[in-house]
Amino acid sequence: MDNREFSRLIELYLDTVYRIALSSSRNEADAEDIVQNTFVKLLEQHKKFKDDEHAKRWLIRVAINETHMLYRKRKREDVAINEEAFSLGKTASFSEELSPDENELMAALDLLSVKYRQIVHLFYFEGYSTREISQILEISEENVRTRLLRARKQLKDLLKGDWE
Amino acid sequence: MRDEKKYIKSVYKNAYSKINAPEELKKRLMDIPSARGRKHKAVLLKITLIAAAVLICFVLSNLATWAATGRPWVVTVSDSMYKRELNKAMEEHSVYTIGATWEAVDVDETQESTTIDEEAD
Repeated sequence: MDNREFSRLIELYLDTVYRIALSSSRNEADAEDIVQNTFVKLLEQHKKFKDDEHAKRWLIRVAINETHMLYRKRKREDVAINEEAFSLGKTASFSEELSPDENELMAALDLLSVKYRQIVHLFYFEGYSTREISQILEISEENVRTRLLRARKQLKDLLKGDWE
Repeated sequence: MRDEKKYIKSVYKNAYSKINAPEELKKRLMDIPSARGRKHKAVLLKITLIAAAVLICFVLSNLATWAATGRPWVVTVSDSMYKRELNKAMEEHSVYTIGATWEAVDVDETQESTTIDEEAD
């Protein structure tokens, strides 16, 4: 991959990959590491993409894999994963920008497991369908739907709001 | 009462759209290809310098040996290796070894003298 194409993909998808990494890891430093590893892989693998969407999905997939690798590495090295490390609502740079509702939702999301957070992010923020998510994560569509349903149920219980 | 799906979607989307990757990270990523290029060049330079140093050592040591003995060491070494191989081959075929005395060679003198005697007859 030439430098110009690499820079173009950074311009296009850096924020997307960063958000995925942040929603999975909930830690800004880890998110930066994940993003960096993802783009280093892009540079190393000399991949040919059919179009930008193909590149985007590949980057998302690699970022998610990098998150899992980071968690596995931490587990192997017996480094305690600081579950309180990041909370979007508590982070100084964002807390002022978020409304009470957003803060409440982010705090609830922090309590979900990583596999649910990833599905929620891909479905609600990136706008992918369950079929597309199943292709990106290489799991069955049924599994995606189940995870989404459980994530919503957990959020509903945590938010304790008035639902229809 | 609120619609669960719509609520999560709107709040989540709104919150995450406020998040952008830090500029510092972007700069660091943009710098990766040139940093890798620099690293690659540094490795190549290191290999070239090591190879040049080895070559210079080789030439200088040969010059020193040539000045002292009249022959560069690389010829002496290859020559002695050649002799060693030749001796081995000759030993295998029961031929005398280079540099060995005649006494060390196993010659059937009776056979030889008989032949001479027969010829004399």
